[in-house]
Amino acid sequence: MHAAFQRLFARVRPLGNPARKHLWAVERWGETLVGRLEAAGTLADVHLDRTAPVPAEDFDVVAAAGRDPEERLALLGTFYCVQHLHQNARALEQLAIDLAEDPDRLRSYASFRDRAEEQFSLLITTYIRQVLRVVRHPDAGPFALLSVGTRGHQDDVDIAVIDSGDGDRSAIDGTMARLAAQCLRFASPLDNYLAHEVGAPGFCVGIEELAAALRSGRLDCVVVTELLRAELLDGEPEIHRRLRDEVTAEYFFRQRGDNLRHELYLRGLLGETRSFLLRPPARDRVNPKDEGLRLILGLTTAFQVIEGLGTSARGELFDDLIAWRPELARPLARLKRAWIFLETFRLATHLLISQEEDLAVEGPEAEESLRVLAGALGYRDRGPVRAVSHLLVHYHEALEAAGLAANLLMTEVARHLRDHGPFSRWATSAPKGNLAVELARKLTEASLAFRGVRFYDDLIEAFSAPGGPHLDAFARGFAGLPEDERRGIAATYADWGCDAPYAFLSILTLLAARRVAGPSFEAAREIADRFLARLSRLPEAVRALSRVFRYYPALVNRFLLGLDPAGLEGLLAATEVPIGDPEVALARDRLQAAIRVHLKSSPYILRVLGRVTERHPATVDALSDDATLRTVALGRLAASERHPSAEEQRGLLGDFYDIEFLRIAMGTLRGEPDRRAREGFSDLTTNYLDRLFDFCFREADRDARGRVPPRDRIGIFLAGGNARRRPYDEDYDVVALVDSDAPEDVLFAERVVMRMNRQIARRGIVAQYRLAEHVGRFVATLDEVAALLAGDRGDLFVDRCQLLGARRVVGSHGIEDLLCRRVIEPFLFDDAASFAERVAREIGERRRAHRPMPDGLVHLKEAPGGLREIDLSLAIAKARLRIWDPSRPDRVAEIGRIDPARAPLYEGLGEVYDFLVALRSAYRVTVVASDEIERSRLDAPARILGYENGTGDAAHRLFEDLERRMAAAAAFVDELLSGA
Amino acid sequence: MSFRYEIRLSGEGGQGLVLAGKILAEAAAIYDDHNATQSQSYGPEARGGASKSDVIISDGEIDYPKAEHIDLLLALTQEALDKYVSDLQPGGTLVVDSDAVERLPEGKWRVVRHPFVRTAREQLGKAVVANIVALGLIVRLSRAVNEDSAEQAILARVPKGTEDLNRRAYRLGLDLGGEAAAAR
Repeated sequence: MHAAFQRLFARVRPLGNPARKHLWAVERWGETLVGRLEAAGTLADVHLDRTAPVPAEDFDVVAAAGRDPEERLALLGTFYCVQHLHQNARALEQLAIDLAEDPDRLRSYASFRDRAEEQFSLLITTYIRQVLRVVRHPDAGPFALLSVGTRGHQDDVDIAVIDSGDGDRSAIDGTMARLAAQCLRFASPLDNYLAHEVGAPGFCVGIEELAAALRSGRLDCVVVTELLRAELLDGEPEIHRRLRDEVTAEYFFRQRGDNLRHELYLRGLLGETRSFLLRPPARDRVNPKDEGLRLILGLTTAFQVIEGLGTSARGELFDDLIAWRPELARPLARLKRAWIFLETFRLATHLLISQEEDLAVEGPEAEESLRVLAGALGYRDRGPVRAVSHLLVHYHEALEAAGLAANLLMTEVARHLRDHGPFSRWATSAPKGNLAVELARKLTEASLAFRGVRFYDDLIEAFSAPGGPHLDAFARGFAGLPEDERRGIAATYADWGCDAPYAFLSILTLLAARRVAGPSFEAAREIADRFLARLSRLPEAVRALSRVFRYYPALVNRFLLGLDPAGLEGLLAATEVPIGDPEVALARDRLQAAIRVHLKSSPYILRVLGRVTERHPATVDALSDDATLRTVALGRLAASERHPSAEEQRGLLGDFYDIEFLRIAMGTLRGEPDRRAREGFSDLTTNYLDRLFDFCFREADRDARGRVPPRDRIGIFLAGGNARRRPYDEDYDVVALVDSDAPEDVLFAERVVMRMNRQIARRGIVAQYRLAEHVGRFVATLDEVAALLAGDRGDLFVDRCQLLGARRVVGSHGIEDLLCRRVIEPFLFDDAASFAERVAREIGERRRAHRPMPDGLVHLKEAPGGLREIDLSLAIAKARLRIWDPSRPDRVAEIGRIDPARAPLYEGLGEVYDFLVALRSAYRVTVVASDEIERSRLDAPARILGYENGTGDAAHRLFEDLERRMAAAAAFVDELLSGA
Repeated sequence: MSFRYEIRLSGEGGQGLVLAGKILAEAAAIYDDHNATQSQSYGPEARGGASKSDVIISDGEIDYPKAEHIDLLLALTQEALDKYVSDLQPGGTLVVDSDAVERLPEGKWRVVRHPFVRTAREQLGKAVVANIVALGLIVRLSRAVNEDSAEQAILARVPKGTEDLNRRAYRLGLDLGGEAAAAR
């Protein structure tokens, strides 16, 4: 082997496997090349041992040495390989020198990138021109061969071949085919990008063909982006000029003239940019092109067409933009720095590792590749920090910086759209005519501009403006259409929704937010039905919807809330498509999990779910993950304590409540034992009210001018179902007490409880203050309670029952003891006989007043043997047996131990009680928050309670069980009362 | 008479089919001294959606670079199969991933089914080389490129340090192709 090639092989040893192809060509043809040059006496005129300063001169010499066209091509190709290898080796050598000498790493990267781009562009352009001289068909008509991709990218060369459109193309196609074969063999493959996108059978596309394709809606806006970067490689400059003037010019902003295509192009770019920003980062690989460079390209191109800048060289474009828009200098500079880093990262990867876009970061092979890359980019191990880690951190920081800058710059582009875009002006001004029809027409027009025009934030803003005319105008317009036309319009929106799901769902959920059935709600439902039907035929739309769910779960959750069970089932079926991308597949799986929760849950639970997802959208991802929900809830609780803003403290505490509520409800849905829900709910209400009291006490203390009572003088007790740990009660029976008669103490306590009440109401809970109607306040003093019960009023037995069953959630044992000594003992225990007689009378009166319910319906609380009778019976027992424990009010077993003669009755009541509460929980979570149980709606509760394992209809068996047990409980109550 | 062989590799974006297409084209053009073209396209969402890579191999000129009469179709997903099978010529070869493709359309093709992704994961420890396994099978079945040429082209395309893994994946694919050919 010639000495120059031996040195070349040694020099390029650090290069990655992509160099093998070029080395193979040198091995195969190198000696022939040397031989021919020696024979021509021109060996000394050609640079085999280093980069040629003027490649064209060397190529001319090489071409002249070939004896026939085929040999000439082989020699040209081989010489290209020699030069390409030298260039790449030299680029890395120079980078190493620059990094050693210059502390500013980014400056060295910029030089490396710029130099590599310039040299590669020059080399490949020169080579292509040389090859064309050999392969050009003599009958080939005029054409322009353009490079349309990023000039410095070596993995392939994106080209566009544009001809006049009216001649015989076969000769041009033949020419280009032979050129492509040579490039594939020796250089970088040509990617016949434009013809492929347009759908041309050969290599050529005419100007008119291209213009027609761009107006057909088949093409992505990326085609325009690529054409804007077109540079003439060879051929007719006039055709290139026509491309600029007749095709790409209309995507630039015109101060005067129609800017519709300019606007739609920007909408396409912004939509794409947002998609890139929302892309979940992969955990096991990096991809600088997809994760950062495409987004940077899109945004800089947007500004290019806004400002009318002609340069396509990205580095210069940045500088021009910064000069043109100094107010955007900071984000543009940030974007440029990110661009330099990512381009360098990508280029170095291509030179040293492989030319694939994905670079694995896990595994021993990846570790070695990354080590090589990090070293080449100037990273060294520093103490415990490995060079590779440092590099990857900088990589992700570059992505973050690009993302931050992109968000700012997108706002600028959006503002430009609002100020100058014809569609935007129409969409945001007062509606004229039938908005539903007009908007459909405009959206169809937009979709004919490009495939995937998705950015419609201005439209969404117009629809969501409070008191704005758009929603009503749309709903009225839609409702007023004849049925056929309405169906067609709904189909148009459904198609649009499959293409632009974020914008579509935003508007649809605004329409559906009018909860009371009316034109707006009906319009939303009809359009949603069409959308779901369309979705089932388009896996692509399912992927898009899954991505929207990933990043806007609150929006999708609002959409799900508007669907009836048939719609939810339809959506579940439609989303059952194979998805290869693991991140998108995971998003789809989570969407399906959310749909199932909607299918299984009652409106009561969905209300809480809606609240949670609006404040904390990410929660919807964790619905089936008990541990994560618990962690999030406890995190909110801890954060509520630390937050400096009182309002935010209360908000975070409310979040804690909602998320814990949801967690417990999800457990019930999964069929967990009701015991867990009861314990969970008990803890939840205690923690919530206790913490809420703290916040409200502190606030009231801050605002108080006079005396503030000690905290332990105030006690808050829950009565009723919550006291007895019945989960999913939608109201609180509250007894709020203050141990003081001083007016200022009472007033202070009142203020605290008033504040608490406001917050409790925000959770959708109604708090009833048991003593309020007697004392005229939320809070009663112990003296007032004692005085009240000392009287003869028979109607107070309900309050006595409540006090007897109360559970302390705020306050000390001290106030508990005082309540016991001053109220419970004298007016309940010591008066147990009359209390028992009064309660027994109550039970009797209720039984007589009870009207049997229709077949298949049972009132679980009020019917004989129901929860109320059980509560009242146990209250009698507690009064007689002097059992009062506000920390554990539901001590049925305790009652049986103290009154062993009646223990079997109490046990029986206890078992029925547990059954009724479990059924009640399951019913509230899956059907409705009501104590009226319908047999026809017991399927889901039956599943939760384990009735599916058995013969016969599960719901039917559960209902029979319910009736039987309540009858048994009624019998127990009768027996207890008869012996009372 | 010159031969022209059209291969379409199709599946979901991110399955390495563009790489596989480039390898086939380079194997034919660089190491076999044949002519080849390669082109690719993605679904509307560049990441995800049916994507394809077309390779045309010929010992003569390829003036018509668009693949329309496919001799061998690889489909790694149901969606890709449904979208592209209409271009497969009668008498052609259909290769599918049997885990991902449940419904096979009617047609006069030779059908080869294999769970490429599962095989790559279970036998080689990395699902990411499923494309190379499929490539090996295609090379052995089609004989459109020389087996050594394809191996050389693979080694020129994969990251340093992964040559052994990719070689094993390729040779596994060759063996599978041999079994499929013998099973006819």
